[in-house]
Amino acid sequence: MRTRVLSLVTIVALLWASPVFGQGSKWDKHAPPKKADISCQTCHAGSAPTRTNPALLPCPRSRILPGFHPDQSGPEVLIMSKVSKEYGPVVFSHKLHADMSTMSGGCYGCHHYNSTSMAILSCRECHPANRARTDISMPDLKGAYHRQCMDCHRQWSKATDCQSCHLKRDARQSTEEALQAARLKGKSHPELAVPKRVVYETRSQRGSFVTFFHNDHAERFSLECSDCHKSESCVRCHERTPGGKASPDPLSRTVKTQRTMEALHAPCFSCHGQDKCEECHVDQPREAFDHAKSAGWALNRFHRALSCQKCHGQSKRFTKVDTKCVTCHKGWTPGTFRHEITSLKLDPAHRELDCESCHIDGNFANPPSCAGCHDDKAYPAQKPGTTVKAAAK
Amino acid sequence: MKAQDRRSFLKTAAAVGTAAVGMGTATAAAGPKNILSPDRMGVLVDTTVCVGCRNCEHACKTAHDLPTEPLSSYGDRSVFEQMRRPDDTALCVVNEYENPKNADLPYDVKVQCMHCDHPACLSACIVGAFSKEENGAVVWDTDKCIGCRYCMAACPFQIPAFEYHKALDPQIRKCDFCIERTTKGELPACVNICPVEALTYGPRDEVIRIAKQRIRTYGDRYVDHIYGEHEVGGTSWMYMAGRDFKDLGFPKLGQNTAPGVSEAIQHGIFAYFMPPVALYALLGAIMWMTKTRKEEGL
Ligand code: SF4
Ligand code: SF4
Ligand code: SF4
Repeated sequence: MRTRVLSLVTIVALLWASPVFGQGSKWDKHAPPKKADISCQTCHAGSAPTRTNPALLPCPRSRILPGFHPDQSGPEVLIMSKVSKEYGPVVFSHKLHADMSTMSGGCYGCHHYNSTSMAILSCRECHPANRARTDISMPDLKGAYHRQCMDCHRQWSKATDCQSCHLKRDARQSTEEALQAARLKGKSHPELAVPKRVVYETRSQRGSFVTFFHNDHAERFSLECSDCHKSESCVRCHERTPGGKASPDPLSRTVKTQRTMEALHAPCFSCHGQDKCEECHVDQPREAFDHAKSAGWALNRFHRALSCQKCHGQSKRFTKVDTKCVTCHKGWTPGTFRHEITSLKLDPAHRELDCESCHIDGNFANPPSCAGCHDDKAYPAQKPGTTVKAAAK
Repeated sequence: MKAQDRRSFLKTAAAVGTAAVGMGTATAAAGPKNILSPDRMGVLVDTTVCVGCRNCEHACKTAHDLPTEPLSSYGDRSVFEQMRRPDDTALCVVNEYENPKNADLPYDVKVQCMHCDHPACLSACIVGAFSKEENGAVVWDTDKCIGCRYCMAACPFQIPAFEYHKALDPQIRKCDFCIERTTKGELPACVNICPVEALTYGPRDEVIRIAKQRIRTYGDRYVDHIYGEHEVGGTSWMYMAGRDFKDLGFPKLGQNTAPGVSEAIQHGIFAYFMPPVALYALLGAIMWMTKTRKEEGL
C-alpha cells in the first residue's frame, strides 16, 4: 500500500515538478494506480506512455478526484515558517478550518491538486520556493500560500496587513508561537447556530415571500449541512466591520448573495418541482407548520417525536390520515391497550369496553363522552380511572 | 552639474531632429537608445489576484530612496477612497475598484509606467534622455533631462512626473522597472514583495502565453483581453482583469504606436516652416536657458 501511495504522489508531483523526472528510483516504483478512480488518459496523452516519453498532459486540476482522509485525522495546528523571511511564522489552525470546509468545497478548496491517494501533497511539491525562476506558469510558494488565505480573510477582516497572521520576528516570537499553538490545541469550530425559519424577500412576480423552515428540512429529512451548503463563504458569519469586532449574531444578518438564479434554486429543485413556483413564492411570510391547525388535532409528545413519514408514508406529498388510533395502532383492541400511557389508568369496569363506547366514532381528536352510559357523569370532571404519570410504552 | 553644456545639448538636439526627419530610414547614431529586443522582459499584473495590500508601493519607495512611512502603515485602506496617480513621490500606486461579482472582493489595480515597446516619452524627448533598454525597461538619464516635460504630455498613460515642489534641479521621475536591481539579477522590488504574486515577471512572450492560458482555463474569472499586449504597439507591463478595463481606469487606446502619432504631427508642422532641427534647438535652448537662469538666480 505504501508503495502505491508513494507512486501516486510521484505521478502528480511529476506533472508539475518536472525536475523530479529522470530520477529513476522513483519511476521504478511506478505501479498503475489500481483502485484509484482515475484513468491513465487523465494525465497521459496516448495509450502507451513510456518512461522516456511519458507524454504528460497539462495537469487536469478538475479531473483528478481528491481522496482525503477523514478530517479528524488531519493535523490540528500547523506552524508555517518555510518562506517567511521578514515576518515570523504563521500558527495555522488547520482543524478549525477543516471543520468548516465541508460547507465550502471540502479539503479540495486548499488541497486542490491532491492525488487520489490518502497522502496529502505539500504545496512545495509543485510551487517553487524561489520567485525568480524560469517556469512562471503557476505562482511561487509565497504567492500560493497567500492566495489561499488572503482571498477569504480580506473579505471578512477587510484587512491585508501581515501581522494579522504572521508573528512578529522578535525576542518573544517562540513564546508567542507556543502560546498560540497551545490555545488552538483540541479546539473545534463552535456548533453552528442553526436558523429555524428563514424568510426570503424576493423580486418574483409570483409572490415575493419564500418562507423556508430550516429545521424542518434538516431534521425531518435528515440532511447534512453540506447537502445544501456546498460553497458557502466564511464571510456569511465572520464579517467584521473595518477595524471592528465580529458581528455578534450571524443569524440576524442579512446577506446580499452573489449567486445566479440557478445556483440559488438548485438546492430546492433537487426535491421541489421546478415548475411550481407558487408552492414556495407566496404573498405573505408563512407561519411554521402546526399540526393542530392544519390537521385539526394537536400532536401529543409521542407523536411529535415521530417523523412525518411514519404516519403519512414515504411519498413527498403527505396524504391525510384519519384520526382513528387503530388505523396505525393495529394491535390496539379492548383489553390489550395499556390506557395508562395516555396518563389515565382505566378502572377494571372500563377496561373491557370498546374504544368507541367513550371515543365516539373512534375519533380521538374529540374529547371522550360519558353520555352513552352515564347521565350524571362528564369528562374531564369525572374520570373512568385514575390519573397516573404518563408512562413510556 | 547635471545639465549638459550648451554645445553637447545642441548636438543631441540636432541628432534627434535629424532622426525625426529621417524617420523610416535610419536612426542617427547619436539618437536615443531604443532597443526592441525579442528577449525583453515583461510583468503580468493580475488584478483579479491583487489584494490591494500596497506592499509594492512601500517596496518601490524603499528601492528608490524615496521617503516612506513604515510598511505596517500601508494596511490603511482608506487611501482607496480617492483615485491616485503615480507621481514624483510614489512611482507606483494601487487604486481600488468595485467588483460587480463580489462586493467583498474589490479589484485592486497597481499603476506605474507601462514600459512601452514604442515609448512616446522617448520619441517626445528632445534631448534623447530616454532610452528603451535591452530588457524592456524605459529609463531616462537625469543628466540629460532639461525638464521640458514633453514626455509628460506625450505619454498616453500620464506617467512621467515632474518634481514641481523642488526648486533646485527638479527632475522627471517615473518607474524605471528597477533597472538597478534587474541588472544585478534581482527582481523588481514590487514583484519581489507581492505576497500573492499578482505581479509575474518573465520574458514578455512567456508572460503573454501564460495570460492566455489563464483566460482559457478560468474563463469566468477574466475578460478576454490582455491590456498592453497590443495597446500603443505593445507594452512590457500587461494586465489581466475581471471586468472591462475602461471601468478600471485604463485609457482606451488603439494598437497604433503613440509616437507615430506625435511624430506625424511634428512632421506636418515642420514640413513647410522651419527645419525641425532649428525649431527643436530653439525651443530647447530657450527652456534650458530659463532653467539655468533660474538656478543661477538662486
Ligand atoms: S507608459 Fe509613458 S512613460 Fe512609460 S514608457 Fe510608455 S510612454 Fe513612456
Ligand atoms: S518596477 Fe521598480 S520602479 Fe517600477 S513600480 Fe516596481 S518597484 Fe517601482
Ligand atoms: S503587493 Fe501585490 S497584492 Fe499587494 S497591492 Fe501590490 S500588486 Fe497588489
